[in-house]
Amino acid sequence: MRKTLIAVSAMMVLVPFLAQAGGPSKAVAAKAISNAAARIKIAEGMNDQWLATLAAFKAAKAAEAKGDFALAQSKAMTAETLANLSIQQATVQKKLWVNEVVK
Amino acid sequence: MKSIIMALMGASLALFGPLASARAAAPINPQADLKAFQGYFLKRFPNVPLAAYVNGPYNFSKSEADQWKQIMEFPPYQFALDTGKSLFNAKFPNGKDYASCFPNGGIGIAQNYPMFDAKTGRVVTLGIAVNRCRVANGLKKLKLTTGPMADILAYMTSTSDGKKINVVVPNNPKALAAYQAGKEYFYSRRGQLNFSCASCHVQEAGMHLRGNVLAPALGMTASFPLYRSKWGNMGTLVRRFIGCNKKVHSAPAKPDSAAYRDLAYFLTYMDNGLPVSGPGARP
Ligand code: HEC
Repeated sequence: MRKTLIAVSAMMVLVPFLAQAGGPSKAVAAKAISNAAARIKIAEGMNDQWLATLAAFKAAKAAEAKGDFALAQSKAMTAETLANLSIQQATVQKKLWVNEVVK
Repeated sequence: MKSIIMALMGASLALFGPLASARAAAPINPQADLKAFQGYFLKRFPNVPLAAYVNGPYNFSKSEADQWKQIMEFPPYQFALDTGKSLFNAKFPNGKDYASCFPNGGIGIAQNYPMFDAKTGRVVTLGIAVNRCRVANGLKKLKLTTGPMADILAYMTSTSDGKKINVVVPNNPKALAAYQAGKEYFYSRRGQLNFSCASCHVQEAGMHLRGNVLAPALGMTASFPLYRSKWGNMGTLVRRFIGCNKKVHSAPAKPDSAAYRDLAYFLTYMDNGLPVSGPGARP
């Protein structure tokens, strides 16, 4: 019993450490998060933020807080991609919305 | 529901395509828009008279209309109305009251809101005007979506019952820009599902979506605030905006944002001439 406990706790300490060893650093995750935040701000200014964008961004911040920088980076990249799509949507709509106006 | 979404998404993908071309921007002309907007619905649903649009979904679903008649025997907003009246008439700690902030003591004026405020260059909804009054008298703002604000608005709106909606877009560049921004918001597709307000409330008006009838955009603002059984309490027009934004997986704007003020301005202007019929009730 004692041995398993020690083994388990050793793993709990080591696994995230090992995962990080080859994964992105804190700085890389932070950069991905700030990139996403910048795009999110633009999307908001265009009145077109997607719920999925905010959810991915929240997950990125949560992962960063937990020290899981690989997950933080990947969630931030998802958020950035989604924000970019909504920016694209809003940009196209700036021209196309007039087509939907009732005449 | 699924088929509607698929059809609309198909249409929207086509719109995203490079072949779609935008019509040249027309000058801002609210009066011409109003005529076209009301004319569109009157022509499309010849059996629904103009004033009946304030009843939203009830023109299009017999079962909802029957449910409504039953509900109205004991109107679910009555409690809010009574509470709202007491809140409205209560004195502030400084001895003043809401009546002191409004023309005609706040009675019978709801049909004139949203209103353009030339001083700030912004649109002011009745809810925002109530909050301004509170702040001017040293009180905190109320939440704009539900609770005491919805109660106060229910009472104020009831004193305008039957009066014709009369939103004014003055010939002021900022007022015209706000109106136009609201119009653009209404017609622009957004959210991951790529829907505009018009996709559901113009193109699909009168159709069913998940057991609900899609209310036509005409008359939509007239019954707010309203009691909605699904909410189990009262909600204001912005609460509805928030809910409909989320339906298309779009993050809602802030309740007092320019986006929602302008949207309310445009939508309520389109209802000019229809009778105020709030507070309302919906399934
Ligand atoms: C995907 C379709 C859809 C879109 C897009 C949509 N709505 Fe709605 N809306 C609904 C449905 C369904 C209801 C009524 C029943 C319900 O709430 O489920 C409703 C109800 C409303 C009502 C209340 C009408 C009444 O008489 O009770 C208002 C006002 C409204 N929507 C405004 C908007 C605005 C403004 C937008 C754009 C920001 C919008 N909606 C976008 C589906 C949609």
